[in-house]
Amino acid sequence: MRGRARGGFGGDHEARRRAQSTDFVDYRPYQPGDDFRRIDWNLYGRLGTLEVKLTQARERLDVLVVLDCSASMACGLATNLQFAVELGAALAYVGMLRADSVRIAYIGADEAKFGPFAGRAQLRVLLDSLARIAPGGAVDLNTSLERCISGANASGTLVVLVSDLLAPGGIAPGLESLLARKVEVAVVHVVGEDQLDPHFTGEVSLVDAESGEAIELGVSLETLAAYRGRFQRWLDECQAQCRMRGVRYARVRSDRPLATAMLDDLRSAGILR
Amino acid sequence: MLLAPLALAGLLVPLVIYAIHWLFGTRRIIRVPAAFLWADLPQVRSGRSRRRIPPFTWLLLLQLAAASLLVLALARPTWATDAPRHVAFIVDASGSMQATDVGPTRFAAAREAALQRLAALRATDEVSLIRAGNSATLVASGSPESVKTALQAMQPGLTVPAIREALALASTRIDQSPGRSGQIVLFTDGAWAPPDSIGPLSAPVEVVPTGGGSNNQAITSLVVRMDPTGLAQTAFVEVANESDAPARISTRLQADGAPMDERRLDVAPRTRARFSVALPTDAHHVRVELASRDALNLDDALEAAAPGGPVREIDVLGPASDGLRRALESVPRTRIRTGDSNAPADLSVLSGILPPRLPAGPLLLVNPPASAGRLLGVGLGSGERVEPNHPLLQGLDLTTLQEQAPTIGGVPGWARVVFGTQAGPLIMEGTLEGHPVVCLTFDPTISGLEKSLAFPLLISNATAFLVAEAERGAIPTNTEAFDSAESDIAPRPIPAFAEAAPKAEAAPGNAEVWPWAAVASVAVLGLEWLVFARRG
Repeated sequence: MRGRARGGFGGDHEARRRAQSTDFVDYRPYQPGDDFRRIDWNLYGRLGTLEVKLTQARERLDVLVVLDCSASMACGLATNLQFAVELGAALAYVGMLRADSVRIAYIGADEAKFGPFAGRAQLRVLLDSLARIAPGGAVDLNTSLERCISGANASGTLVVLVSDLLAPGGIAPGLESLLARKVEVAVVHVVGEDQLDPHFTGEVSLVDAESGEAIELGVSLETLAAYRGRFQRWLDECQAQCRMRGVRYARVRSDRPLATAMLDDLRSAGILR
Repeated sequence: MLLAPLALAGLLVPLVIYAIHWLFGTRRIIRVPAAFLWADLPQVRSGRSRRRIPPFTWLLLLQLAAASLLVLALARPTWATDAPRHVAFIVDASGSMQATDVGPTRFAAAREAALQRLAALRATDEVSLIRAGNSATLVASGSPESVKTALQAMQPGLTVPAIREALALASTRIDQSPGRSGQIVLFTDGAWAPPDSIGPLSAPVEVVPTGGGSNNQAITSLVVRMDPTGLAQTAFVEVANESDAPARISTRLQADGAPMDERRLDVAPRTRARFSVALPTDAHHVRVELASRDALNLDDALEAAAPGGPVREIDVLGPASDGLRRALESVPRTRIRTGDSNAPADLSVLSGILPPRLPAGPLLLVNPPASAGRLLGVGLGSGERVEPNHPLLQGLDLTTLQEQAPTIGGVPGWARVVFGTQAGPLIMEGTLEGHPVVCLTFDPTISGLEKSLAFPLLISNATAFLVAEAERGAIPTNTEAFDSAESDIAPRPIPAFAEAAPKAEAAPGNAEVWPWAAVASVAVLGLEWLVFARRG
C-alpha cells in the first residue's frame, strides 16, 4: 500500500526522516559533531573535501481497514458486505506481506477492532476475525468514522474505508474528522449492480434497509431513468468530496471479480502500488 | 349458445378479484440500500393512497382472464355445426367408363373426383360406396377414411351400368340413417339410357359428369359360317360408327394369324356397315380388329372360332333320336364316332341321361333327367331371359323355341340362361364340374322341333360354341362379357331424379367448446404463476 511509514522501523515503506540504514540518499558537508564513521573517505581522496553520507530508513506502516457493516451493505442480490470483507482481507494480506501493522475495524450495530496483525503467520487469525462479522443496524457513518480512531495515536495511520458511503448528508464530516487526526485516508466505494441498474417496475414499496423508512412508488421506466441519473450524480459527488480533501478514492463494483478491483480499480486510484 | 347459462353468474368472480385488488391489494415490498435516492422521483402514481383504483397490471389481467375463461367453460358454450351427413357415392363402372377421352380413363377420372369429394367430408360423416356395374353392389360403408381404400381398389366393368338399382340401393342406405342428412353423388359419364322409372329417392342426387366425347367405332359382330357344301367358310363382320361424325374405319382380318383382308369403310354417323370375307375351309381361328384408334379399345377387336379346321369327333351317349343324330351329322366337319375309342371325343352329346361320372371334354346335354341333382334350381326366378346376341341363338327363330316346354323350373347354380320362359330355362350354358356345357332342357321330339329347320341350326350353334369354348379353355361364366351397347360412349341427358317428401330436417350438431376454455384457463393460470414468480 502506498503511504509514508509511521509504524516503526523494519517495514517496507520509506521513513519520513533520515536514519541509519543502508539506503543511500545524498551527501552533505561534514559538520562538527557528525559521526565521522559516516564520512566518505573515498570521496575525500578524490575531492579533498569531507562529505557525510545520508541514508534513509525503512519503516512499517500502520494500516486500519474500516469495514462498513451496516444493513445497507447487506442489501441486494450480490451483497456489498461480502465483497467488502473479501476486499478488506485482501488489503490486509497485502499489508501483512509488506510487514505493515494491519488492524481491522468494522462499523455497524456492534463496532469492534481486531489487530494489529503483522506477518503472514497471523493471516489465519485475521480471517477468523473477519468471518465473525455480521451486518446489521443503522449506522451514522460520519460518527462511526470519528469514533473508530478515537483514543489512539493515529497520526500517520493509513485508514482505508471500505463502504457504500450511503449517508443522507454525505461523508464530508467523517472525512474531515479523520483528516483532522492527521491520518491518511483512502476510500473504497463499493457499489452493487442492483444499485446501478435496478430492474423492477410497477407499484412498489421501497423500504430503506437501515432506517426502515418506506416510500410507495409507482415505478415506471421514466422513474428508473431518473434514478440512474440521480445515482450517477451522487457517485460523482462522493468522488468529488474525496478529491477535494486529498483523499484517494476508488469505486469498485461488487458484481465483478475481486481481482479486477484489486489490480485495476485500486491501482488506478493510487491506493495500491 | 350456452348449455348452462346460469354459470354466467360466476362472472362475479372477476369482479371480486378486482375488488380484492382494490381493497387489499398490497404493493410489492423491495428493500433498497438507501431510500433517500428514490425520493421525489417522477412516478406513475403517487402511491400515497392505499385504496385506489388498482392499475391493470399483467398479474391482475391474467387473473381476470383465467377467472373469465373458467366461468365460460362452466357455462358450456357451443356453436352450431352442420348435421352429420350420409353420402352415397355411386361410381359408374360400365364399359364406357374405360374410354380414354379423359386421361387416363373416364373411370380413373371419376374415381379421382370421388376421392376428392371423400377427402372433403368430415370424420363424423358416413359414406356408402356403391359400384354400378352389371349390378349394383355396396362395396363399402362407414367413415370416409374406411371407405377410401375400397374406392381406390375399385375397377370398371364391361357391361351397362345398373344405375336404377344403384340409386335404389343408395336411397335405401340413406333411409337407414334417419339422423343424418343424405346425399347421393353419382359419378358417371352419362353414357347410358335413362332408366324406365326411378321412384322417389330419399336424398337429392348430384351428378358429377366425366368425359363427354362420342368418338368411338366398334366391331359389333363377327360370325363365321361354313357353307352348306362344307367346301368354304365365310366371315361376316359388322362395324359400327357410334360417333356423331362420319368416320373412315380401317379393318384387318386374320385367320389363324395370317392376314386375310384389309379394307376401309366410310361409315355415316350412328350407322353400321357389314361385309363378308371368304375364308378357306381349314381356317379355324378368326380375328378382326380396327386399325384406327378411338376412345374405347374394348370393342376394337373380336375373335371367333370358325367351324372349319380339323374334323371333330362326337360321342353320342344315351337314347338319341334320329333327328338329333341327323342334326349332328349335318354339322360340317364333324363325325359321330361309332366304335369304342379310348381317346376323348371333341364333343360328347348326352341325350336323356346324366351319368354320375361325366365324360371328358365339352358336353351337350339334350333333355337331361329333371331329377338330376346337378340340375337343381338355385335361387329365385324361373330363368325367363333372352340373350339375342348369344352365339347359341345366332340365326334362330326364337318364336319356335318359345313353344318348348322346359323340364326344370329353376336355374342351376353353374348355369347361365341364354333363353328361357316363365316356365323355366330352355337353353343354358356354363361350366359343370370343369366341363363346358350347353344344356337343352326340353325334349325336341315331343314338340316336333327336331323336324324343323331351327333344330339343326341350334345343334350347329351349340357344337361350334362348345368346341370353341373347349379350345379356349373354359367358359367364363363368372366374368363379364363386353356389352356392345357400351360402344356408344356419348353421354345422354341425365334424367331429373325426384326426391321423396323431405324427411324431418336433421338436427344440427352442437360442438361444445368448454374443454378449450378450460384448457385456456389453466394455461392462463400457469402464465399468471410464472409472472408472479418472476416478479418476486
